[in-house]
Amino acid sequence: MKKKLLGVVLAVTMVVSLGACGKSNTETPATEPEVKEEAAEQESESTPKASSDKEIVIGVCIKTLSDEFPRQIADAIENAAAGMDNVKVEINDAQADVATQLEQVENLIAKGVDAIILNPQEADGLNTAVEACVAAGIPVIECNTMTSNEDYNCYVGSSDVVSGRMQGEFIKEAIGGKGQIAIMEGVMGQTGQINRLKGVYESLVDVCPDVEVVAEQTANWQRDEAMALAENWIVTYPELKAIMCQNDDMALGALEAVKNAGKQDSILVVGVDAITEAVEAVQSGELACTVFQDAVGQGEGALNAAIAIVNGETVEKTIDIPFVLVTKENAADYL
Amino acid sequence: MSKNINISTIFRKFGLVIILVCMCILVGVLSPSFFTATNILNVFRQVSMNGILAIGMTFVLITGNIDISVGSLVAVSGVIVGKVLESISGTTNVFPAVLAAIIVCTCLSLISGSMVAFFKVPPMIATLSMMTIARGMALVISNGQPYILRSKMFAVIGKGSIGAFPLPALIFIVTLIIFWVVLNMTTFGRKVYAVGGNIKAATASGINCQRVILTVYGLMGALSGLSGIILASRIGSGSPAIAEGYEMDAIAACVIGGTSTLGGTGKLQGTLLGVLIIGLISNALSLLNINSYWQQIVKGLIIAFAVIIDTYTKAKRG
Repeated sequence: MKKKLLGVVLAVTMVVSLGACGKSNTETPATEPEVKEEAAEQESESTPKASSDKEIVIGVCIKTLSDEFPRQIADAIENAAAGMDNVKVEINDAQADVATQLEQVENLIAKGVDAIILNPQEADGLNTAVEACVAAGIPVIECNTMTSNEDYNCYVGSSDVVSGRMQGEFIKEAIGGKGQIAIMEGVMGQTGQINRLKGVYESLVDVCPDVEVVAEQTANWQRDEAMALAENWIVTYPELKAIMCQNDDMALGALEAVKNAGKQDSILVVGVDAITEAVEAVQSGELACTVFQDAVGQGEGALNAAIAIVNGETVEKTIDIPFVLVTKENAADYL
Repeated sequence: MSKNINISTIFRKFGLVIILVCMCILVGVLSPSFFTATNILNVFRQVSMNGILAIGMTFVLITGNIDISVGSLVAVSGVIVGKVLESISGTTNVFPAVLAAIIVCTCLSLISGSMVAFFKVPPMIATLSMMTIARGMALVISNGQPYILRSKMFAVIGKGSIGAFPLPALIFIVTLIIFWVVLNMTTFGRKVYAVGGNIKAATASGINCQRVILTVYGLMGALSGLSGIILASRIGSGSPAIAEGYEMDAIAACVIGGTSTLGGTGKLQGTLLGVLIIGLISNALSLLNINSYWQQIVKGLIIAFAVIIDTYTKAKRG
């Protein structure tokens, strides 16, 4: 009975919170007559598509605006669009929920936007969204994260494997290619988690036989979970040389734990993303390094690609925005 | 025969303690670092936030209600602290920030409580709406961006310790003792049980049930605020996205501890054991480096198992 009730609690919680998320952020959901009207409008419009004076409407689906990095992408897109004539963007926040994001993409399709910039919450979960865009003939530009469905028109982002590789190479040098390391992962199954891990293995674990990965666990990109996990690791592995975190939030959590244990001198903590707080920590020498991912470059790149596609120009299928390793030497440039 | 009865009596009384001790021994054997002072203190530090929530949740559950908004309230508390500290930066006095966080959370919970007590909204729905409202408030107040908390004074709450004993754990234990006294030795405590046991009988005997329910929700809010303050101090940031799902751990701790979700029964000492069991699971899973994919399953199974053993041993008596 208790368990059943708990189950009901969970189910109701999830269902209603989904509903609530969906409503709160998308603009008024299109009612039926509107849909028809806009669809018809889109049809007639799709024939002559020279660079007309018609306003280009681009739907932007961001996985969550509560994380700093996706938020920076959204801001970059919004700012870039504000500086252009005839371009209007509609930002949608999926609040880290696949179903909400799918719903938002569907709503944008129903509205008949000219293109959709998708920053997918999950690699596989949003394949349906890409299919729906293709079926509706609306170009979809993926930003920062790729779906496993490759029918998108263009991907603008950075290869996560490279950021993992940069971390790996940094640590290899810093610990002299031997010692115990622990890897703190993001939400299991996301491309960021899978590929950054791959990068670390390629550049460090696979090439240095004396490097031992003693622990490899998720803290779900969250600072509080990261801190607890790092505390447990520090107790268990007194010989630990480095904690490699797949984002900066987790790195900052792990850093707190390392500092509290008085282990700053023996354990290196590294992150990815170069959020302001992390770069400050790098500059002060507390965090060993982070990897700068160019949110503005990715956001602007995605917007430009979307406009180009709407105007009938051809763009590369993959547009790479390079990473930069941020260490104490160059930290000041990224503040 | 008499021996059998004795064993079942022992089990009935100390079932959870036995489970907890067995778990400790098992983890201790598997991981040599488990029984180190640092680790034990870590566990206490890590459970204190959920522990404080579970204290309030025990009261709410005993009255036959539930509150699933506490995770969101924890986030609200963190961003309020961030907002206030930002606006009074330069001073070392963190008291206004702490007070503001607790007051705001208490008020929000009183709104949930009023919906339940006066408008007869089912508690699940009332707190569900508060869950999304509060999360939204956290996002609006912080504009979606976490506050960096630099105040050294504020950091003491979550990171400090008295001797070797972590301050968050101390706050948890003191809160637990206060609420234990309230629940077991005051008229208000007896009213809490009465409302959950049989609300009609309670009303007939002259208890103002609405006021009891409202008070219980108010306390839950204040405790959520406190928990949020400790969390924010511990991680050094007030984030609107934090503490999602904390309500589930708090409810699970109460249920493991023998509090019925149907109301009327429950003990804070049981809740303490539930909190420790949940904290121990997370600690053990990371000490033993259990694969992340498996952690969720293991955690769920242990919770289910603990409740089944507890219910079974209790049922045997009847």
